[in-house]
Amino acid sequence: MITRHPFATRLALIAGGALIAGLSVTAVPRAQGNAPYVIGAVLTISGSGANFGQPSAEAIKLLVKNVNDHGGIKGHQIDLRLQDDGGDTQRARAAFAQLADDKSVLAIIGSSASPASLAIKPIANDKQIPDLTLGSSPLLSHPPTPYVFQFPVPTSLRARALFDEMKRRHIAKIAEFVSNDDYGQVSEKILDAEAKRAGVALVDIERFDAMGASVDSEVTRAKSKDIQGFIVFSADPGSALVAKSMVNQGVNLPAFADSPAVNPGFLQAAGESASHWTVVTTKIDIADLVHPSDPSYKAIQALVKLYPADAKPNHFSGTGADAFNILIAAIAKAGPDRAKIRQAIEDTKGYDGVTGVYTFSPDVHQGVGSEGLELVTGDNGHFKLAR
Amino acid sequence: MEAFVQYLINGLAVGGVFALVAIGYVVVFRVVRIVNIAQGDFLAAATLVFLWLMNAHAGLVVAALGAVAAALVAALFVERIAVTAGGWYDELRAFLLTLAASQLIQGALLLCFGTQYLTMPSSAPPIVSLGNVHFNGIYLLVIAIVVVALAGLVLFLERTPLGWAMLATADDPLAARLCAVPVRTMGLLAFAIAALVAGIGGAAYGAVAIGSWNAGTTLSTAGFAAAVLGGMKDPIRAAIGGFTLGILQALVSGYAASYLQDPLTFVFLVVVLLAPATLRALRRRRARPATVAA
Repeated sequence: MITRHPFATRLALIAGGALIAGLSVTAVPRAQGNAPYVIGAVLTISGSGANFGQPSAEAIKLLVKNVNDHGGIKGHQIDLRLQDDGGDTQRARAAFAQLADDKSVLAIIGSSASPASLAIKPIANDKQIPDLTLGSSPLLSHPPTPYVFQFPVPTSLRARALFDEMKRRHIAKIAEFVSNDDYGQVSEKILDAEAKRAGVALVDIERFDAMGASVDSEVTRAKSKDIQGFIVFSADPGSALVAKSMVNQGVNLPAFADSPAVNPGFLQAAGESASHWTVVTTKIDIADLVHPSDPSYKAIQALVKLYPADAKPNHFSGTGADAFNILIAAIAKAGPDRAKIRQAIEDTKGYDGVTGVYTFSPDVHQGVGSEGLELVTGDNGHFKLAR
Repeated sequence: MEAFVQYLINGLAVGGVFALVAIGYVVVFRVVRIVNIAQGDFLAAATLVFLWLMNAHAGLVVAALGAVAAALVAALFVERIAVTAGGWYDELRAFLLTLAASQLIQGALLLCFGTQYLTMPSSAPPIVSLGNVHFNGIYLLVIAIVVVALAGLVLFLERTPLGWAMLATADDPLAARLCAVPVRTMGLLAFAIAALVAGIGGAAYGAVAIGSWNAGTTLSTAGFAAAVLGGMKDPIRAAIGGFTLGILQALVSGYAASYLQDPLTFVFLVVVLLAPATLRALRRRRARPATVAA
């Protein structure tokens, strides 16, 4: 109606448009000659799952550049079509279907979180395009479906590593904190089963909002139940929220958390009490401490050196890198044919990746076990091996 | 009883931050009649900048000034978009534009700070102990900051010529303009005050909680519910609304379950919105038989 400052307004809107545009990226191949191999990716670069999706997207972009700089796949440059689903299942479905309908797209990596990945799963099988998912829900690969392959270390194995550690330390009664979202809901069932298996009693279960302002009241209630420790399986920044509330109330009990806790923000929130925390993660998060004899050593070093000095890959970068590298190997072996690429991924055996050793088969589409897992703890603003 | 006291203190600290968001809503709404849904994002931006500067060892004063500056930049951006482009008193359009601006601010924070969240530099906070109740001493500071900010705002509005000009604009912009009050400047000033309050709130929130690019959504919702309790007009009632909501959330989390916090915010909103009309209807129904008899 009234536009007294049309230029300023237009400038603001253009800046806004540029911001939105900045969230959706398409990497264009540099070299000419052989037709490029087109790879799709539907990842959560913005929205609530961006903490998972951004590191994976960053790793994949760096890897694409690296492969292209080294001549591509047998002379074919890679054309990465990266779409942001914003953590929205409908957007993920639409983006995936659009990529799948383009016959030049050979395979698609994504999505980053389980809900979007579960929404994509039937389309991948319907349109017969390999989907390399980074979601961790067991439903993504149990039972296996022909075209969907899963890359994160299963939640049950991560939980088991923590409960085994509790058993070793004679911790028998704990409070469980899970985020009130899909990740937390799936984790709750798994934690229940793994706690029973380890003989640890879950005397208090707190389902909390990982984006909430505080979990002080939940920590107050949990500590009143005579517990010996905490376990936290939450999306970011849930673990930090629990750590912060424990610090705020001077609670110094042992605490255990899933891999999202491995980041500088968590260490800050936990402060000096970070040494009471044990976090399960993959070795990429402690890249400097991995021994050269470790099967993951080479893959980790190769990924780390792609990053600038002020940036580091994390657990989610590692999972994205493993999906990408296995896909590239499959394309190199099978050529530009979706069905043959699917077969080549399924034939992958003993691949030493960043987050573990990958083996797929017709019956196993969740390709990695617990060998890549490590327990870490906070130590003066850094993570070190728990023992 | 100990648990109750603990919940109460937790609730007051979080409620204090909700109160500051609510005050921002009220100031802007009164002067330019816009429900500025990006108010929580001003606070999120301020929190991130505050924590970033604290972690860069810039010192408390510089960090707090940085927080206010960040909120000010966000607020001027929204003012330009929602008021200038949306037009004064085109409420629906302006509301939708603030919604878009909220997403843009979150996008900008994501681009600037990434997905990494920030907290205060590692150090043990001063723990205050009352019997078996232990809490972060900074909570008391947060509550004090809210009270001082509120008192300052009320004094400004009621005791200074600029405050009177703002109130005049809020009550009747046309009459205010006839009295040579620069109405547009008053709108800008309302956003600046909302930013100042958000900046203070951002520093307080950063001191006790976690800063992340998308924290604004939760804060906007809670702050809006609290502001509605104040009838969107009275900063003091809005602040009371904020504290009430914070305490209610803490009690629900403590005695029931924390996942009921968000639904509680909306129940609170519905009750506050419907209660006056329902009470009026009930009063009318009670009064009706008397009228018939007469």
